[in-house]
Amino acid sequence: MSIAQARPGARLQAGLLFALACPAVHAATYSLPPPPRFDTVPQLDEALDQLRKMSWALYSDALAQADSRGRTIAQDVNQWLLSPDHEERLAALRARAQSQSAAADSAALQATLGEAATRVQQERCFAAVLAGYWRYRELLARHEARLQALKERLPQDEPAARQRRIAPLVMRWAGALTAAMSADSLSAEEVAVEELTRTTEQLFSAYNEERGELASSLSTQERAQGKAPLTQTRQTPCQEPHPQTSGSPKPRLAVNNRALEEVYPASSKHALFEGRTVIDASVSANGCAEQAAVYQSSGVEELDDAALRWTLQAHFLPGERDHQAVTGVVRFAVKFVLSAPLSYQGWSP
Amino acid sequence: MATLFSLQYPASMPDKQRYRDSREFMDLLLKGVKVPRMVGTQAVRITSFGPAQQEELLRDHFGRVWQLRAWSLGFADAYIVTLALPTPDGYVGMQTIAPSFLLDPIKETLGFVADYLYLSYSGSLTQWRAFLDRRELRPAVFDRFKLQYEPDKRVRLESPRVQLDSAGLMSLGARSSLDLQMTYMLDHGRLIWDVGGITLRQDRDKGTFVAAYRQANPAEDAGRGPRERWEHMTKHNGDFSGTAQHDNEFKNFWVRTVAGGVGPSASASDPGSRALYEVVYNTDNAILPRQFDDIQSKLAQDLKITE
Repeated sequence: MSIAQARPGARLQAGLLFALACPAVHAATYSLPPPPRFDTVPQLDEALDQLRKMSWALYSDALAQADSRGRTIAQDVNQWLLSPDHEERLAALRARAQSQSAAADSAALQATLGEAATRVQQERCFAAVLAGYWRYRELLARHEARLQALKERLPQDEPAARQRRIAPLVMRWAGALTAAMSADSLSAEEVAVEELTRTTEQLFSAYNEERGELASSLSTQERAQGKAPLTQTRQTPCQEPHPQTSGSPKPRLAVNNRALEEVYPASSKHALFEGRTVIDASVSANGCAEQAAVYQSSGVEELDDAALRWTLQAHFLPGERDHQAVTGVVRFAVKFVLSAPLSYQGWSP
Repeated sequence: MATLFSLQYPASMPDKQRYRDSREFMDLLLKGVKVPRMVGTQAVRITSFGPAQQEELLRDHFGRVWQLRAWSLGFADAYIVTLALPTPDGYVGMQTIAPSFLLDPIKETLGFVADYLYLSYSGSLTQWRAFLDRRELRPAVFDRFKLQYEPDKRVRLESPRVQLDSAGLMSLGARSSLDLQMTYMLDHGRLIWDVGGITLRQDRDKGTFVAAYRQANPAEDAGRGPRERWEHMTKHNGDFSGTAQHDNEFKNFWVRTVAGGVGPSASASDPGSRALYEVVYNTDNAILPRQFDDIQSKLAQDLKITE
């Protein structure tokens, strides 16, 4: 079975299996905060207080479960954020700045505050990286849960094969985190964060692909077992009959359909679920989808459901036989791809 | 009719003689209680009565020792009578004026009322040390209460039920304070009056403290609230999970957990004697999570329930 991917504006060919895709930009983000600048000791104090609050905000995050390293976010915070030696250095800089301020030595004061700003920035970057890592980790846990649920329904699955794809990435991801949190300079931090970003992106892609493959196998298995597919039937009147036909016995999608982005479930986007659902649409002679059935699941129920809903609202060119519009079934793939960089909604420093 | 009063002395100035000096006691009381004497048509406020003319000690049914004192108001054929309970930080008590012919019944009445006065004991650590040293004036329940205070370093408290060492928990100083809440409890089937709660504050006016409150096993027919609270305590969940908490401003941090349940009371045949302790550590100091975790670890080591 061949699948052609189509971008908006591309010509869809009748009789083929289509894939509809949102513009794809797929990159993880660990947004680093802009560097601070201090002119006075109270400004430094305020920044130090903010760092302390950041530590608490992360420490008490509800993400209490341990990750693949067997560590919790609280343990990471305790080890890496404002560690005793970093805290000591910042306290020494603060004391030096205080005495320079008292002595009205503004040149020395600015130099000290500049050094403190660099250290504060490093801590803020650490906080941003930890926040990002653990938020993505929470999302990955949801991906893992979906994968597990599919695996349980597919006894002949070979988990070892999947482990070969995901397990090394998980290890690389953990290593990239350690490297980012151990960087001793801001430039080293940036390099480490780039690697962390790449690995995060690859990990989500691997999970999405893996789940897609499992879901596809499961759909095949269930069809062979005669299990009824997930189906939606039109409950509303059809739109106006389409003036054209597809020019072949099979119907095909019209080109002026609404963007998939409009039906992409927000919760799936938030969880960074991507997927492809193959749909069988029963199209009436007037170009109206009377029924839509999932031929091949994406592995995410809400994506399948969104694909069915989109299909029932879509415009089709009906099939044609002997110069007459006829009913027919068309099979196409609806592909949900994130259009924005991976990002998370939530706390950031 | 009697007036209830509370006298508090400065925390940093324990004075062994103070509790024996009836003149100083009444002079201080007269700063708050107005007792006038008519001179012609003018009411002149009395500022001192001198030493008490009658003085005796009275022990109430809790074993607390009260100082019963009387001063003659010769000009009115009456007495001013006080029944005062020495506490670490001063006194609490009752004061009244008795016509001469009613002096004895009123003294008896005050003694009767004393049995119905409930109070917690509070004071600075220096005051506590001095209070415990005044053996003749302290309640019998404190005979088995030990307090070792190394100024600015640590305090070690030891009672038959609880041991607390402050060393890893907070720094202490002149403004630190100790509060003991007294309560009735069953002890091997016998009803006794003892220390039911301990609160050690780093600074009496601020929010850093460690506290342990005794919670007896509620009776079967107790209300749902106490039963559920006990359940959470025994299972270390709900409010007693031992998880660090903070307010929305990240200014106040606390942990609530449970101690006890492994000593003699845990295996007591009388369920009413079983007891756990709600342990709270709270701080309003600027503190990092790892520092708070350290304190939590030390809390588990430094607060021991021995009943």
